[in-house]
Amino acid sequence: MFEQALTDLWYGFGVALEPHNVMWCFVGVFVGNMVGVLPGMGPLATISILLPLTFGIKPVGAILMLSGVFYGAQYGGAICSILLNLPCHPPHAVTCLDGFPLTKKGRGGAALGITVISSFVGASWGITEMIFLAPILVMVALEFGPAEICSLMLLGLLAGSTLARGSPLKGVAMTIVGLLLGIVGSDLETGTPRFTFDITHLYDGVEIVALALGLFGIAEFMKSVNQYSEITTTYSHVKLRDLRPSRDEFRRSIPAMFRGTLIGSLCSLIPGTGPTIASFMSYATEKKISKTPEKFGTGMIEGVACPEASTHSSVQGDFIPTMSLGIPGDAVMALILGALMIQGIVPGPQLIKEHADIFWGLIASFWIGNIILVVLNVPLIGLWVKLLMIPYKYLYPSALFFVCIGVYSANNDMFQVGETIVIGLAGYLLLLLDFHPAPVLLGFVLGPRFEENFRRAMLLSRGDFLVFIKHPISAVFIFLCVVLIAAQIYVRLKKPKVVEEFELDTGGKEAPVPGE
Amino acid sequence: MTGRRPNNKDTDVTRIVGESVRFAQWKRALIVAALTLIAAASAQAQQWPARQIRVISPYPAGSASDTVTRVVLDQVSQLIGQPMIVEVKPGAGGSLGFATVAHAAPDGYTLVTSSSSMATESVLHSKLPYDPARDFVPVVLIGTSPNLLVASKQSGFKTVADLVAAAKAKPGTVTFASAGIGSSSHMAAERLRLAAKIDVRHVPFREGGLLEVMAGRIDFYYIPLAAAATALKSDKLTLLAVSAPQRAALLPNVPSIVEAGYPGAVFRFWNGISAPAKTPPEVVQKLHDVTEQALNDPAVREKLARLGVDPTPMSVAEFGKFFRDDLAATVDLARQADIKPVD
Repeated sequence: MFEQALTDLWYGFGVALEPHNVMWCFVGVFVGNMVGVLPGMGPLATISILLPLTFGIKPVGAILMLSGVFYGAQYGGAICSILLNLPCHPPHAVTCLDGFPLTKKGRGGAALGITVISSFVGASWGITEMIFLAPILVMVALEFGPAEICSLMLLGLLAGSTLARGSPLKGVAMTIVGLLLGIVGSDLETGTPRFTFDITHLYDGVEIVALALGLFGIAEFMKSVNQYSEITTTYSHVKLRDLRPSRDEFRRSIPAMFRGTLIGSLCSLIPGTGPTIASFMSYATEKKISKTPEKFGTGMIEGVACPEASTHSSVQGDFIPTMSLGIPGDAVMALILGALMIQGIVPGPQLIKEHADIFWGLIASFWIGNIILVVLNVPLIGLWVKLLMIPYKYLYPSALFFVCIGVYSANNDMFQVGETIVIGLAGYLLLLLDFHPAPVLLGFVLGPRFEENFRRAMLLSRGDFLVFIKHPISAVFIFLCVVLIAAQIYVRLKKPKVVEEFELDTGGKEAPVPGE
Repeated sequence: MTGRRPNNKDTDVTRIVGESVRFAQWKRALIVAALTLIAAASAQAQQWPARQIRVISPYPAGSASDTVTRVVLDQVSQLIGQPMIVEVKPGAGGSLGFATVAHAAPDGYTLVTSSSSMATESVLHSKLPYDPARDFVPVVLIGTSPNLLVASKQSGFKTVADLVAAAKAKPGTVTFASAGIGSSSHMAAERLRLAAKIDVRHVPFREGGLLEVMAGRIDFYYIPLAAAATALKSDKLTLLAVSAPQRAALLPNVPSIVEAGYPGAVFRFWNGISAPAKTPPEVVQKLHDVTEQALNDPAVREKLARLGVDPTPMSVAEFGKFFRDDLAATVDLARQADIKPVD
């Protein structure tokens, strides 16, 4: 089987290296990379605009290009997060936490370098997984039902609520704000609008792009614009010789990359758990197992390497259920599936047999595309970093301008521009009061999944709470949750008396979150 | 200010009336002007399309409706020699996009891709910012597509009769997945529920629950045919019926729901193009004809067939009736199935 896979892969390279296919792959990743750098407009909108263009191309070229846009966008996404604190795409929001402090320290170039490497590592694992493990992984994916996903989300919320720097109590409070924001919109089961205040635009909930850009980008902008100019210019002290990651940074990033990759590939298999959840979970894990968790948020290179690797392995892993089951994990995959079907190709278990050129060509093109992206991005780092040398008074207003265009073009809706600004103002207030916005996003992303799967599990079990313990996978997650809470309480009980009172309070506050 | 202006005009007119000859000339000029205007308007309609056309797609990018429309409009735009810019404006089940078009200039340069969801939106919301029947003129039906009733292998259902028997034996235990309240997968299942008089439990999903059905945790699912093609060969699903009066060309071996004995459960999702209500009839007719021409193109036909869409040629009047019937039928279904407006 192993040899067979290698032979097939060799054949795939033959397909993918045909000159026109290389060209389509290049066009795809290039467009994707550019879209990734611009805020707001994501791969989904781009692919749907490019879709009619692919009607005239052969199926292999079409699919290579569209997929290239998808994973190419992820390479671009981290750039603004690290350099400007602007998370152009939600999966990269968590990269802001340590990426932007690194830029302030003058290590932005190194962070970008590590990002490119982590991305490549993550993607490479995702691809390898697709070649050798797809059939097994698909079986695992089928085991994840509502009860399992619900318990996993609970674990994510517990582990992640202390994601940000500073007071854990504030972190928990922000997670709850995120959970509440996640409730806004029409309820899935009854259709009843919740907290929409009769605003039709809020029926689909708060837009995640608006939330990420507002809380991070706009809030940071407002904070800096109020300060003396000397402080803001520190961003510009990035020298070209700082571009290369130091030996120490390498040493610390490599294990983080592998952990991120692993979490990303697990997340990609669970339905409805895309790269955003993957990157948040991996950051939380990295912080939990680090020997110096208190340093996270001040510019830890691990905090960049881990979520980036996770995002990329999740993005590549997303193709597994789509290609081998024919079930798309998210909207982008649904669109790529649609493109395949228009070309007369039906994804599913028989795809590998019936259209070996597509399946293996696609996999081989992933390698080629990722290599093109590395080659494209490494020289570009110098260029991006030079961007910071543009005086602040020009750079930030133009960045804001692009944010507005990007947010508008995502849904062609002015309301979302307003939404971003309002969230930005709120985010600024939170920053002033020393509340960190990252847990808001975590609660926002995990909360609705937790709630929906909880209610679904209750529907299916006819109200039996024991369902979470009866299912073995779910039971493991619940067990981990209990261990996590117990460990938290134990550690805090051991601390000096004065701190204890306050800390215990936090431990108590954490418990109600899951019971929401 | 505004109250005064007409008065001024009145006095002007009175002065002219006094001089009868000049008044006659004035009247003639007025008639000529009016005629010219009408002629100009119809000339404008004849010149249509003179510039690019904006087509609002009120569904999320990448949804089946969005893809189907893009396939057809790509061809239409080649035929009319003007670009058709598809503008995705999703939100609130399509209401945001429909509201935009309902209030757009009725000049044939702003269109909307309509579908069955227009009717479901009208029963789910008591106050929409538009009237689906009065604010739009249905122009052309692109096609209809049935949903495919699939059951999990674990459920053991081999036919629709098995499903109904199981649901009758133990009311409330058989579950079905859907892509949310008011989605085609929900509406099709509601029709079966009413037609067969069974008590089944609805489990909605945001992204469709096919994986749950394959895993055997949920019993059945009325999957849209466009999304179903991928699941057809899965050994974890049994194909029970298509929700159309006849068998689907893609699936000659799967019985129709009528054959299965439930003609009342027929459901076909449709996609079409509509325009703001006062769009000139000439423009509507022209757009209708050119779209039908595009639909007759073999390449387009083939692409639509692969997406499970069955082109159904209809005249403008027929499509108008089809649309009103659909609205009425959905209102009726909502009443019987006790689907209440959510706001």
